[in-house]
Amino acid sequence: MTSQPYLDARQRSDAAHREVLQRTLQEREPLVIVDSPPGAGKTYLVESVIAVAVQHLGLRVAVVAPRAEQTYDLMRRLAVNFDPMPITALLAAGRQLPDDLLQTQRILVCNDAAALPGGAGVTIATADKLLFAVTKIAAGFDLLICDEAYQLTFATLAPLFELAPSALLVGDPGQLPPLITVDAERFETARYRIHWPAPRELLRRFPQLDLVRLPASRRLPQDTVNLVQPAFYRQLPFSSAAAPAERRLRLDAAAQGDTIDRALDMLADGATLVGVLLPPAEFGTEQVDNELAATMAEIAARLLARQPRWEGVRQLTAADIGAIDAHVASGAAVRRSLRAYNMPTDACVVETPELWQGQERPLMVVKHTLSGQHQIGEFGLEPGRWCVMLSRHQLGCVIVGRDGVGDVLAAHRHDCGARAIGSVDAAWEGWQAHQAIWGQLEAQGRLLRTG
Amino acid sequence: MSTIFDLTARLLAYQVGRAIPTRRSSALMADPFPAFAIAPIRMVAEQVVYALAYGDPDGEPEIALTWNPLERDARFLEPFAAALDRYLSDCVSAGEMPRVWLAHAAALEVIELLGHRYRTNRSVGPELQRMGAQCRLLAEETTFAGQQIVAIAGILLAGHVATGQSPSEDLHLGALLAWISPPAGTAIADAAAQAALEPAAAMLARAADDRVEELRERVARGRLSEARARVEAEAIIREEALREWALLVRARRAFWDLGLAQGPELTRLAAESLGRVAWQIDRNYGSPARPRSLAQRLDELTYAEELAAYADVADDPIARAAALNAGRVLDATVLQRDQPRRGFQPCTLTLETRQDVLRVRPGTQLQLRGARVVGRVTEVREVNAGQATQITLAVTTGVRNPQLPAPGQRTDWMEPEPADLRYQKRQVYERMAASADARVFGDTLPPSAQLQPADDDLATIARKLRR
Amino acid sequence: MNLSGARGLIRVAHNPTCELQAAMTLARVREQDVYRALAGADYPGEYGERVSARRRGAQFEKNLYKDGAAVLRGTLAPLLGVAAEDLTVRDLSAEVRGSSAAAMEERARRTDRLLADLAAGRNVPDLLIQPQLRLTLAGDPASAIFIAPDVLALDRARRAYLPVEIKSFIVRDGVVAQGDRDGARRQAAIQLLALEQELTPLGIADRLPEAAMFIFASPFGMRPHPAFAEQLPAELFEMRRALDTMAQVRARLQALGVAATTDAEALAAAAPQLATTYQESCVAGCMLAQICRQNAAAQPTILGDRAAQTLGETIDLPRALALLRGAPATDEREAWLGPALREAAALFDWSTVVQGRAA
Repeated sequence: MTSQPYLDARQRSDAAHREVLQRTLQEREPLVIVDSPPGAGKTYLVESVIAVAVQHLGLRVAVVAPRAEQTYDLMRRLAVNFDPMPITALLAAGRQLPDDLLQTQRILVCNDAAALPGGAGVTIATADKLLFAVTKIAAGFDLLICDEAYQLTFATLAPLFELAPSALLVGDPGQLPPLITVDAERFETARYRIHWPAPRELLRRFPQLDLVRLPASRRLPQDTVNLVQPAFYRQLPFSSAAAPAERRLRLDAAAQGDTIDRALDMLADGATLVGVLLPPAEFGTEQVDNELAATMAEIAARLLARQPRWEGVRQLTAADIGAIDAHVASGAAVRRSLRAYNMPTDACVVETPELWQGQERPLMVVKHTLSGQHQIGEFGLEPGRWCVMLSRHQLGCVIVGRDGVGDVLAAHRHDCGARAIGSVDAAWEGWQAHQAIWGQLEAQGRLLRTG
Repeated sequence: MSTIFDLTARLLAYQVGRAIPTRRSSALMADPFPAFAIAPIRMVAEQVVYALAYGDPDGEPEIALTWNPLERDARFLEPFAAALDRYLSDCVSAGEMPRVWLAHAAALEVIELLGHRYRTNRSVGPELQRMGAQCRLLAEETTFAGQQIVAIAGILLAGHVATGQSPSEDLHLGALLAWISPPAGTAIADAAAQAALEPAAAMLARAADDRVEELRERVARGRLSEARARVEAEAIIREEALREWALLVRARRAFWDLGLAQGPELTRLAAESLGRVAWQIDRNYGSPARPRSLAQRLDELTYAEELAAYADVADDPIARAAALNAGRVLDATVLQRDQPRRGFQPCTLTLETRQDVLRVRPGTQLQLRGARVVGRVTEVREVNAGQATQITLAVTTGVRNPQLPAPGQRTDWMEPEPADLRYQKRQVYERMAASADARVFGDTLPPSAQLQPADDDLATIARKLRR
Repeated sequence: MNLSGARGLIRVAHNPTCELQAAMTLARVREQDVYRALAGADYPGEYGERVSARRRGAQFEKNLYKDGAAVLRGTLAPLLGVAAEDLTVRDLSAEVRGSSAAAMEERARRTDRLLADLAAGRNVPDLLIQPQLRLTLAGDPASAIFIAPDVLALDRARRAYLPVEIKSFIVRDGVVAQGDRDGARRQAAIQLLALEQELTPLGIADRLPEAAMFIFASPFGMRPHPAFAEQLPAELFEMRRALDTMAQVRARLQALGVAATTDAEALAAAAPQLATTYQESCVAGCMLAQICRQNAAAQPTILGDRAAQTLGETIDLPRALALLRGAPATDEREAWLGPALREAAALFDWSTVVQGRAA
């Protein structure tokens, strides 16, 4: 009997979840690392582990995430998806829970780590908050869970280990690494890579550690996975757990038939990553490509004008369309253009990849990070940035850029002196990922040129 | 500096035929009296030195030299070691900031090498080991942004002026100085190119190097008496050390002749710098190697960088303009001030800006420039069809500050002075080191606990627990 | 300085659009001779390696190779996963001394034999000191140059030799100067390309990894810093591109009728027909840089690569200055640039600077 690939993926995904539960809560392994592709149900997994640990096994669990919003999101899901359990939010003094969480009345707010309640329950905090609390916490935990672990440095996570004999680290290895603003060369060659994403450093130090790889993305359609996985996740094979029928975009309104419409029609036909290219032009380093910003806005507006519908799910609105521009200044130009098209910018959000991490929308419009550049630098080559941009959508993503990216990639001169001795050439990996994505889009006729 | 600022400054310098200042405030605090200067000459590619000219940069230098550094007799360095130790120790014990001038990055590299070579070298006496430790300390200090103790003239000048040539050409101190004080009667580009022909990299000029090598070679082959060779070689080396010294003195003077203002935040930077050096001066400085020391170092470096960036924006109008263009400074008019009780919390400001590039989001902290008024953004909304942005700011510090702005006032807001959490972090890392967790320090992981019966199907339980 | 060999290829890779530089490499002429022919005067600056640098490099290697290459074996053992005392060594520099053409040919012959042994599955030494490889530059055997890796080290599991690049650069706290890293990696990549050319006819080129090993010095005399291995895909890409450039420029020279020249004067005479691309990095590496800089006097690249990138290919320095003074813009880039320059210029206190002579 041949089953559908997405059903296989779901089964393998369930098996991986089972393995994590068993190794974390039954074997009580000191360290379990879970590599997750985008939209693999990481938070669902974390919720399950917390619920079983607290409600079934009566354990004390501490959970950290890099950003406050991420911790709020987890609290929200625990409060809504499960019967009441003791949830404590460890917050910095002066911080408040969002109103909706306060209204659930399920969450105990605690500013002083010394006053954390004892007994079974889950304490949720940002990694930084728990870090400073380490010296004050009287009773330890049975289990430490870290969500979005690849966004935390080893230096941030390492002091937390002593809080619990078991630790579970879940994260997406393809996303942007934590920002290090100082020259890291000396750290790069040290015996401990304290500035690396925590799971990466732990896997380097303990190569025998049996990593759990989540095998399926629930967010991304298989068509996107086919492009994104080989480019950004060579060490993490995965497929889509979404049934093709659950990922269908319908555009009910008629088209004008121009390039933008043809691109949108391709999305509706199941090509979930397509490019719209403006004629080549070069821009100064800080110069904003206003025409491109206008095109991004036009695409978002046209999507809406075509009355997009997520088949079997719902009619889509402006809030279902997101836009990503890696630069703040040109993002502002996209927002301006959106307003010119009467698109509400509080609904149709334009942000940088950093802020889009961990989020999703049915439809995305993204600006190619190498668009209009004559020479490409480290920023444009960072694979995490491009990966985040191409993996936020559930139905489809339109890449907008100046034509000529392929030529710029080909002419790029690799800097052979930049990386520290003995280290991996991240810029090369980024270049390869760009090359792979662009090459595939071109070969598959997914790049549509205007004019 | 932003790309467009840098381009503009270089264009203008190219146009007028001399360097133009790119800052209005100095990033370096005024010299203490006296300062100490070191002009080393290294044997090319080796980790040994021919000579060090050193002393008060306003006076005549002392010179320590050897004509045969590969002989490994380092006692010629002892007078230098004593002078450096006296200078640094006197400053630190008097609570005063020392200032050590070097000409360029190449000189720093020599200082760093002396540190590595002698700090733990058991074939030399304690004086030279101490010199090694102090050289190391100085070299380490230069890795901290905003540090005030080691002044590297070439790097400082390139950070304060723009020339009409490329940044790579600026790396040559002689060529850079040609742009700052152009010689009369020559096209500036030619003068710079001419200056660049002579090395400015803590090494002997080529002819001098070749001659000294030849002299040693001839002595080794028995063709020349050692005494004669030595006299000639030492004279050459002395002259070369004086050449580097003169370059350093000229570069230092050129820097102070820029006549830039001394911003108030320099005091903070100087205190940080002195604190680091005073702490380390009697500790023989080792490289961070363990998780605790590495993590602390990363924190220290990051804090220094944030503080230096803060000081730049606070003190220098050009740095501030660049930050404004990048959205790191907010130029806004106060529309409204809601403070039910004057001088008390709560206090909310409504700001309006027409600035295009904004990095302000709910949760962002902002500080009023030049005042201890800090707030947290609670709301950002577009008004007038996106023509302007209104920002609600809950004031957290400074509600009774007389500088708390009033409606109608035009204000500059910047990222607040970085929070200094190093003490707390240090405690956390000390605790981490004490716990010696195998996941942090070990080479292998500890075994699993295996506490629960293995036959529970936790996945099914997890599903059932869901509503 | 002679540009033939690895040095020239590395220079070509740094500026692959400079035809003159590639032509100097192909013609194996000395840079200072081309300078003299072009400038009508001797090169005024210093060139060539200093005695002390040469001596240190030689001593560092000698120290690694002495006593049956004891230090070398000790340094590489952890990387090769074989105990130091079990590593077998052949030192071709001891077997065939000298740097004459005949000596190089002989070392190359012995290297060939060892590589053939490797392909045939016979026993080969773990470490091969100073082997000699050949690298064909422009697809033509006549253009072949000798490439001499310091050492080839056998990966026993893969049955493949890897280049070991030995440099006396001093590693301080794990830090090496960027330019030194760049040069060492590119050199190792060239050795990999030469190995690849040699192994292809033997049918074992596919065993060759894209990696090399490096031995640098510590700050303590001649003691090496721990050896390390690196993957070099970007370096291989760059050096392959340099070989492509060489082939293209060779075709250009053929079209100009100077393909066979080894004469600096003849090459200099053809120089006006060859493209030169002045860029920021030329100053540090090329003896002709000042000549090219003068020829590019109004080009943005004079102010550096970053300035050139912002101004693009259409706006030269006089035009940029005109825009700064308010000249009307003719395209979108100029329309952006003019106000941006004026806004920035208003910040700088340059009006008080005495008007000097423009560069």
